[in-house]
Amino acid sequence: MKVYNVKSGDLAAQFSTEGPLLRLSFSENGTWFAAASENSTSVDIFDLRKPKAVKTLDLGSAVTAVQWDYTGQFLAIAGAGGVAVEEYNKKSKKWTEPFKKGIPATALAWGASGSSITLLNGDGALTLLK
Amino acid sequence: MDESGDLALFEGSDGSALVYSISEKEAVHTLKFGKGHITDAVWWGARPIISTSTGAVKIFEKEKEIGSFAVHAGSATGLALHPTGDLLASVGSDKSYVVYDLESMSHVTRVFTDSGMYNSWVLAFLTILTLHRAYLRPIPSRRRIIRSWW
Repeated sequence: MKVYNVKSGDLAAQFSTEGPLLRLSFSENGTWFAAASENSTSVDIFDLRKPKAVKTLDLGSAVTAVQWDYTGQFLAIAGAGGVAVEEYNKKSKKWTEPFKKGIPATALAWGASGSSITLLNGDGALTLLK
Repeated sequence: MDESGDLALFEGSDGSALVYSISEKEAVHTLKFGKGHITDAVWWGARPIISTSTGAVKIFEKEKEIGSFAVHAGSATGLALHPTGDLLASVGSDKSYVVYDLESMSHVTRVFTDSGMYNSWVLAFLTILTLHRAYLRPIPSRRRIIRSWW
């Protein structure tokens, strides 16, 4: 993963995951991003200021999609075995998993104000979680 | 999902993209994008933008294609929209990233990298955002950013 400064075109930072990169999502906090790689059951959280992943979250099945909500507090992860929402508490600096459901998905997106999640599966079916 | 949280954009099975309305429970728009398959999609306000495996980047207004770019040689693999709204970036398997000005529908810059094949989302716009967040300054206008490039 390479971070470029678009003003100069210069390479600003570089990070790596174990397998080919599948999905990236930036947090609204401006320094974190989540990365999922192919055939991996976990998601790595990186901080732009640190060379290595600051946290690894395991879903238990191959991850296909990952997206931060607009606050940067919740991270939705979807995969072959289901979907989970991970929460980062800034005060306690701890991760919790407030939501998990066995709905397989190939893509996901947060709805308005982070109040819903829409899932897409390989058969073209949309599932709305509120 | 678009900003309203009502419209979901995804690929159909026949060279088209579908815009599905959650509230109306049906596909409200069918977007014809031609050959290849969709690699990424973003919303520019109410307008869907897609990138395809043939290297195209296409912008739609309802069902009408209002802009199209074919800058990448090979697949366009990812899209990102700048927080100021009118700048778009794409990455491709040709190891380049391209920045577009959506207001004038032109491509502003293209940067080749020493990277192997990109299979990723664009990382490009974060630096500006981070920098300006960090110093609590407003994000500069699109025009100022472009002027400073030239």
